[in-house]
Amino acid sequence: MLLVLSFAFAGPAYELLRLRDPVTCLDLGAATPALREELAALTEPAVLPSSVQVRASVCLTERFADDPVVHAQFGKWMLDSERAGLALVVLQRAEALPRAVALDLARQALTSGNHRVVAYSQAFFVRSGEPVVAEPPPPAALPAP
Amino acid sequence: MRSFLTLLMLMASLLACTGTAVEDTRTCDGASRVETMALTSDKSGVVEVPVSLGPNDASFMVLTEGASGLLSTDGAVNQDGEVVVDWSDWADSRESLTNAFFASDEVSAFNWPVREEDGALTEGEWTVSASTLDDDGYPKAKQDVDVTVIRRACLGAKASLPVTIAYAGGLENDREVTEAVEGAAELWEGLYAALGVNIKVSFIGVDIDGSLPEPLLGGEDYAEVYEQVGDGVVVVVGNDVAGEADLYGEAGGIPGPLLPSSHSVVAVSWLIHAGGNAAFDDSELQVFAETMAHEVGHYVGLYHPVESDWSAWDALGDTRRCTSASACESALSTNLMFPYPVCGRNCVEQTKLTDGQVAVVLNNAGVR
Ligand SMILES: [Zn+2]
Repeated sequence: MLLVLSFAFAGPAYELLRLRDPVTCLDLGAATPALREELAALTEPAVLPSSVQVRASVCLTERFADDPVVHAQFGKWMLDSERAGLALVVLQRAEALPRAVALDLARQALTSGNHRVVAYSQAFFVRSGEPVVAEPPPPAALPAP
Repeated sequence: MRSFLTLLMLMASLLACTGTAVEDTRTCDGASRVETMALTSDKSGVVEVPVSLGPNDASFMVLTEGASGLLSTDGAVNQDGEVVVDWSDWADSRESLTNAFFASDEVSAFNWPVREEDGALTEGEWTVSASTLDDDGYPKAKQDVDVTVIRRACLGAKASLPVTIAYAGGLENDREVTEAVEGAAELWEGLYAALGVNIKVSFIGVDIDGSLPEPLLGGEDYAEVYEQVGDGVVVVVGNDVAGEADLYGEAGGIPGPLLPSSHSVVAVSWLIHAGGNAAFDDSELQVFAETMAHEVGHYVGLYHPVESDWSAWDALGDTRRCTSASACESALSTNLMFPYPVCGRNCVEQTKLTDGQVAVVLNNAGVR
């Protein structure tokens, strides 16, 4: 059992992301659902070294920027202080995401209890030129008939 | 059997007693002498750097800097005209001795000797050859080169490496980060001390962005940071070190330059070491300490004992030539310079260096 647990993380993405040498997310191969699942698994808190969790979240942001499944995962991180490091990675690279998704995540992050997540969210608003508001803006008034 | 061993030991001790003792009259204080000169490469793009070695000199670093194009170091010739080392012997090797043989921008840093087996320096007039190259790596004639020669005396009993940890992006005011960095630095000091290498760590804040460029590729602020410190090895701590998948850390060269340049730092990310929750636990502090120790190991001349494709190695005689993941993890996973942390339920502590690796560190002109 111990042996199985010892190799529980083994996989091509894990083997690359644990390297101390520079690795690019493109080195992980095609952006397939299988890669997405492997990267998502590598963001779990049990994965060691824990730096792999952070690097996997970088690659989810870089390689799956348009994937709604991944966006939903990012949304959970924004509000979970135990995943604050992953939220920071996403907010730092939020420009890679569709603008509406990035703004929505940043708004959620403003309500996070984690001071770093809030600060990174505010920094994204500054970069994006959008006003810092935690709630989505009210729907635009309907045009006059 | 036991009596035979006793006889051997007795003979050995007799030999030791009857041998002629050579008195070491050198002054071994690890002191450095720095000399600068302005030279011009010849029509073949070669520049010959005179290195005058005295009786106390145990190692030297020749740094060649050019205003444009690339530079490489080609080799060294001793006072008798004998070739001590030549780049062509290493060009196609699967073993790595120094990055100085490869073309690099701005500065080429050549430290000699690298290994114990390279032998001691001998007194007299040595010559180090370097080349000025264009951006494609072809010789570029008649180029002005600024040269710095650092000669370091043999080491005394308390040799040490000055290290400055420089916080970028205002991190010196972030208590969670400074506590983690100080904790990791303390572990690192203990780790090196156990290997016979003393480091003296001091801390400063520097006014540069917290998102750090890769020092191997060069960062425009790094020369100024090194200038501000002026000595030893500088470790810049930032939020992240650029690269698509982020880096634990990176050294500006193997070895790194001991003067200001865009490559003259080790850069490390605190955020990547703090894991998914951005808060350090003990095991993350250990890996953070090992990253600093590993990257500074590169900066003072160490390669990975084996690269992660299992087909390239360092040039040391006492690190195993393994050729597969299982064999290399089995032989080298506790080695500080292994290419990745080895983890299952826990991460293996990577704190060991072989005698050959320690000798490389002590031969670096920055250690005194
Ligand atoms: Zn390394």
